Amino acid sequence: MRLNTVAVVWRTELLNAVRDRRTLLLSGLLPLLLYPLMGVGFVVLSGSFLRDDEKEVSRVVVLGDATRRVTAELERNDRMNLLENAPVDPEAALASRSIDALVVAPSALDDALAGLDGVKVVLRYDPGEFRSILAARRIEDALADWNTRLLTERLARQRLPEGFARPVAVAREGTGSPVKRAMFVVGPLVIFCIIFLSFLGVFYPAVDLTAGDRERSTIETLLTAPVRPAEVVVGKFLAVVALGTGACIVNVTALLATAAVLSSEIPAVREVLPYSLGRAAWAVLFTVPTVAMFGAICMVIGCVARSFKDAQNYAAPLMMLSIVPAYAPMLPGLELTTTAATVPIANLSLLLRELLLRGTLPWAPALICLAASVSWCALALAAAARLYSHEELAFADADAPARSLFRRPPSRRAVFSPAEGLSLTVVAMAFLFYAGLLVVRRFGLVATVPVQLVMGLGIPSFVSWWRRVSVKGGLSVATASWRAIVSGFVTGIGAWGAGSLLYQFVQAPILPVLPEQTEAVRKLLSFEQPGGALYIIGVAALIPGICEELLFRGALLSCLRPFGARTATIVSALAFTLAHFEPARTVPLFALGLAAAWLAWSSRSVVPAIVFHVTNNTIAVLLENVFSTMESLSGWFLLAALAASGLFVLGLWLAAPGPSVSHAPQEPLS
Amino acid sequence: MFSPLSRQPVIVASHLTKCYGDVAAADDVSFTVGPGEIVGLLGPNGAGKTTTLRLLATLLKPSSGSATIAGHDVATAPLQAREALGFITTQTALYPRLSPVEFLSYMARLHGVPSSEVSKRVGDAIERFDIGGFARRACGALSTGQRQRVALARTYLHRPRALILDEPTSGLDVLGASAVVDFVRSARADGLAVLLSTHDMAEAEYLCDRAAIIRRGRIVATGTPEELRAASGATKLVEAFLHYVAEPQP
Repeated sequence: MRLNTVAVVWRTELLNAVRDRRTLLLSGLLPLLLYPLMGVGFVVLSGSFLRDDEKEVSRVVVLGDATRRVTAELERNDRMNLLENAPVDPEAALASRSIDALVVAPSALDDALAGLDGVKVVLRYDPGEFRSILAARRIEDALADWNTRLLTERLARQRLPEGFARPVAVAREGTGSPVKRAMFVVGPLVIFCIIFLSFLGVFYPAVDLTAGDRERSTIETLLTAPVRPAEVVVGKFLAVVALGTGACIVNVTALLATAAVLSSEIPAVREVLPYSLGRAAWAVLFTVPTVAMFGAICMVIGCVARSFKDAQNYAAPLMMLSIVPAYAPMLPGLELTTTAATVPIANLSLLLRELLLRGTLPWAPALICLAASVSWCALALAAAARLYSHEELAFADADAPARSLFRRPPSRRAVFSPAEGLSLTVVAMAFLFYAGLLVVRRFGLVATVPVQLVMGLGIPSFVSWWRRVSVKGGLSVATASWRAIVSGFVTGIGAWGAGSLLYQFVQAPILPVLPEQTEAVRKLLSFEQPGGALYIIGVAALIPGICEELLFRGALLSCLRPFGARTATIVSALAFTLAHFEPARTVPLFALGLAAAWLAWSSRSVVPAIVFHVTNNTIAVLLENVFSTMESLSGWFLLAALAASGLFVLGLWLAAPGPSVSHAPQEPLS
Repeated sequence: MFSPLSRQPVIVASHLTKCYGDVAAADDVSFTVGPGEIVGLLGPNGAGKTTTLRLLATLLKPSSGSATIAGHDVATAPLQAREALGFITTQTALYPRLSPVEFLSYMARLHGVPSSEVSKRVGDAIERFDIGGFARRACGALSTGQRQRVALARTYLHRPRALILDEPTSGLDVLGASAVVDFVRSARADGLAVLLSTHDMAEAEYLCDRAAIIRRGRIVATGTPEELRAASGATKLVEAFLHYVAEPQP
């Protein structure tokens, strides 16, 4: 890569992007206006909390025979309005919010208090209503005061010290000021805004510099110049990162300037938002890699889209997805752990909470967060560089894939297009998810047969009919060599070993399978069920092995062939992993998905992958029934797993195509 | 200015084929364009003209066959091939927020023009293509004819040996088209090999030394306009064109 070429692209693309008014508006003007507005909102909110605490009057009804005495105690609090005329239906009044709380005083109260007994006063309130919660707190406080006085009187009558009845007393002294309570609400919103507005700052330039190139045909201008596509993409990416950094600096500066102005009016703001230039610099430093990652992902989307509008449509779900992790600080109990630091966007929002709201910088998670964001960013950038000049995407004259999917093509084709293959896979995965929830959970293992058949055969067959694609070609059903079939079998025999080792050493330390899940699977696959071993193997090994391979390696992998082995196998394995909806088996499933994809890729047929999958599933079912503790690493199990892993690797090696196998673009299947 | 190194063909297409699934957009296409020669690639919509030109411009990879620009293979040495090539499409393909000066400077730098020479080359191009009056305005605010002049100036910056023009006069008025025609003729005079696709048979007859007629991805006839007319028994190139692109009767 020639750095001077990258620099030329970077300078001019940055100049071009900066002149886009949308970019300036979103990355510059919007934060400058939004943070002061949020500051005003913050002041109003903290004033509202203050007002609530000081002025809000609670409407309370006391029922029962000892109303007078309880009422007298509650009236000690001057913010309590005790209604003299109780409503006809007090419960309905509480539900309709015409009163805030209801107290039922028992009939035996006077007698009990005269002696040494105790009574129970019932307090009814609506925990979903702030006014009702406030009323309940005041009633509790008033009754607690009364209780203390009564206890003191009794102890005095019995000539006992105060500590007799309460050896350990708790004095609860809340430090939360109304300002702090307001920040509890606004704080996560501030973090969300920093992330979201910084993302907006890169979204338009990232899409404009990629999809916009297609729309204006400037991609042809660039790619007929003596430059490498990677140089162009990296130059454009650096322009996007520069704008993202600018947006991030504007956001953090606007936030801190607003906080500084507010703190001159409300000194407590400095306590809840411990701002300083140092913290601002750290916040920018840690935010930029995530913003760059988002920019790179937007560039990937821009590379796939035909126009700016198309890219906007495709990016909308991405923006929605990014909102969820950006709200991580709002989730109770979620802290910046080592694991959380690897989750994109969520890691940044949690880190910003530490940095901006708590005034701390936990170095280990912060560095992991940085490394994770840079890694995700590098992956996305590599994908963008690959896709930018991909001729299937860059110079196709047809409609946008999303639009063309809804029109039946005029002529027959041998394989699915990438858009068709990806769409049918998504539909089949969604079907599997809902059918799994609704049908399999209700009717048990036997229901997997129709679900799998619809997923692996029904949906792809329907789509191939609708899109005029040969079923055989579309699902990659082709004759495979004996070597390929044997390699599938050998890989399948050894896969349990590789899967077990990956689970034990990589997956389990991060997210292990729960014992209840293990037990449920064991029961589901038990040979003691009606039908016995053959039935279980047929339903749990044979049918899924065939149907899942037809979908993930047949339809999906074959349609991704134009993107090369790496992209096709990774995407196919990712989809296969996601389709299982088992986060605690992500690593082994992904590895098995990669193996199956490699077998199908190298043989250009789905058959070896089916042989592999069925063999692996059969062995897994047998092992579940033979051994009680698959997870055990003790003794010979580890050795057996290692030996099986050797077979797994041998099988994959056998599958590698010899020099005679051509890697030219796929010929039409007849 | 554009000095050909030899009389060897500058643009060579040899059995060039590009398949999309089971459809061959370009099918066994072969021809050459020598220095100081204008060759027209003529064909109806969807015949494979743009695919062929994109293969030669290194934008697409051939399924089979080969092509060279100034001796550089488009598949194995695309950067060297592009250094010798100027390419213009129907779309002027400019950056709407950059001025012609900024755009031309960008293109000059991408084509490896030394920094010290960029200003001079851009100044020459502005003068030659009469861009001075709007050189500082945003390209997005220019008329179609003005944009086409900037696009033509882009190809002039790096002194290419070959020009590939995909329907360069499409959508232009008479004055705009005339500027393009003048440019093409001056490029031939300067010794460049020019390959252009066009729908305008009068333009092709006027400009082209030779023409290749393409139908369904295959070259069905080549020759000078006179040879094509004579071989098809037509009196005008447009009649010869219709003769060759007509679908065979079942």
